[in-house]
Amino acid sequence: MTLTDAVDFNRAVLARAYVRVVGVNREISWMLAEIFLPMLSVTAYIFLYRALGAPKMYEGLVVLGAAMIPFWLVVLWSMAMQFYWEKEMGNLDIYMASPTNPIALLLGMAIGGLVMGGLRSFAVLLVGLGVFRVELSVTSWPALVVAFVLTLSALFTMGMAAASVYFVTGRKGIKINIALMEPIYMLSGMFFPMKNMGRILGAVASIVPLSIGLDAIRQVTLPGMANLEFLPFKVELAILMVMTVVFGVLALKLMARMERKGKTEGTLTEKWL
Amino acid sequence: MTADDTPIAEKPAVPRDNLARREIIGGLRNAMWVGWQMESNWTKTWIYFLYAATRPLALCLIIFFIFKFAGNRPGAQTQFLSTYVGNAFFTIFIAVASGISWVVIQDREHYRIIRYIYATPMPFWIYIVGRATVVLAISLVSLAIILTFGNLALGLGAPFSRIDWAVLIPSTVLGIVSAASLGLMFAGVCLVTARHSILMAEGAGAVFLLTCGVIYPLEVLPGWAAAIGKVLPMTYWIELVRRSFGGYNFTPTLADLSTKGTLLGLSVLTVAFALLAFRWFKFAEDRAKKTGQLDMTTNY
Repeated sequence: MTLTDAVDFNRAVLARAYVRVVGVNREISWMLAEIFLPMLSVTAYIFLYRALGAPKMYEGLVVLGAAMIPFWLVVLWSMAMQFYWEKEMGNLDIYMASPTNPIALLLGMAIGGLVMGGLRSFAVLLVGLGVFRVELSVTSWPALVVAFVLTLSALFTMGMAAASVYFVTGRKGIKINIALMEPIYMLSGMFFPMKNMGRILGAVASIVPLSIGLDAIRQVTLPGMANLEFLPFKVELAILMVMTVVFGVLALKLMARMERKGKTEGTLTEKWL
Repeated sequence: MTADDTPIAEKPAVPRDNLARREIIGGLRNAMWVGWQMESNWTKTWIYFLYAATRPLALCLIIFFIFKFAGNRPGAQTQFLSTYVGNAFFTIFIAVASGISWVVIQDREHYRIIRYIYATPMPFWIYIVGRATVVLAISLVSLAIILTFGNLALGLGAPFSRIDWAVLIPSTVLGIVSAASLGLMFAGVCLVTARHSILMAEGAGAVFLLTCGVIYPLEVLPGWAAAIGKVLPMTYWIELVRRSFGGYNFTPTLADLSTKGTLLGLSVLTVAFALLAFRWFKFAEDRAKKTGQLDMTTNY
């Protein structure tokens, strides 16, 4: 890669991230919806725990899960699916005709998505702490930061890898995404401890970085969760690290392959199929 | 001379009522066919039904795992049955209400065919009903899967032989009409608003989940939220569904109501909802035509 290429690459990353950060947050109705919609369902689960006479700590568990929902929604709808939307809106062929590298676009989307998801997640946490008075007690801030960063890196590299697959899918992509909403909420134990699912289902769920990441985050923010851990904290961090590397490499390889496939089969410009 | 060669003027006139009926039935049939194709032609039928059941089934499994985690106290099994059944039937409400409003978004913003539908002799609301019928049929199949799975795998304890069908069928019919009415209201809103309405149905679904005591008794809610729940037909629908599965006394404040009285209340609320929805939809449709919003594209 020459210096000019590197500069172009960085400019493309920043340009794509800019659209995500500024453009999406300009649409206030979406922003509010993305914060309050997960909060409404979450409130229902909090009330369910109250109806069951569960300890207050369980509400904290739900709020933490809810705070991770915006990241999952960003990865699913604004990372993995993004090339599908671009295709439907007629932007994908413009990208292809420009000197932009698709990997730069993916990185830009990831950076922008992190900001976007982060804002929403923070708002969900504020509502949870303010309205439901849940108590989170961080046992180690460095451990929390490491767990959080690794969770997001694994999650977003997974989104990048998935985006290349969506590059060549049509309407199926939307259907797959819809099928990955609530089932992933279930598999990742967003509203209950992952350990509760048992070893077999838990192992299946571990493919999603959100499951392992959320379990790790809960271990350092809810001290009462210590005996409800799915795997030891350090093991979960190691898994997240491996996932980041694997998904990252996969994203690079798949993108090149799918781009070529899309161009050869002429699926890059098709719509409504 | 064959029948097709007969000059139009010489063909016997079709009575207007018959024509309207034929247009309505034909339109309904075609709308259902289009709806089914749009929903399912990306895969095989059996895969599609599995896909359709995945989302509601996951919601029910979340309930199951929450009970497994925190529901270890006396009476929890009955409470689980009521919660699971309430949640399972609520998925029909979500599917129908959001499915109807999604028709406007899809046809206006995505496929951009709404003006062509208006160019046919079929009223648009008939088209919506046709599309909703498909969604309803799919969600009923999903419901059957969820209940069977609950019985076989989760120890739900609600065999079909013990269901009080005399309560379940009328209440579910009324509940579906309520859900469709709400969907029609949302569709009206979608006609006169921009892309913001994409999330409206989902948001409303969450509000109803919260206020109608679907997965917990109304008593858990703050007073004002419980008061909202008591004027919504879905609250009474879900209560009657629970009773038909033997789940009495889930919500103490509704337990005093007789089953007949609850059914009557649900009927009144449903009729009121349906009339309001239809009037609102006609108003919104009229306004969308006058202001040129009917086929506007606001960035799908």
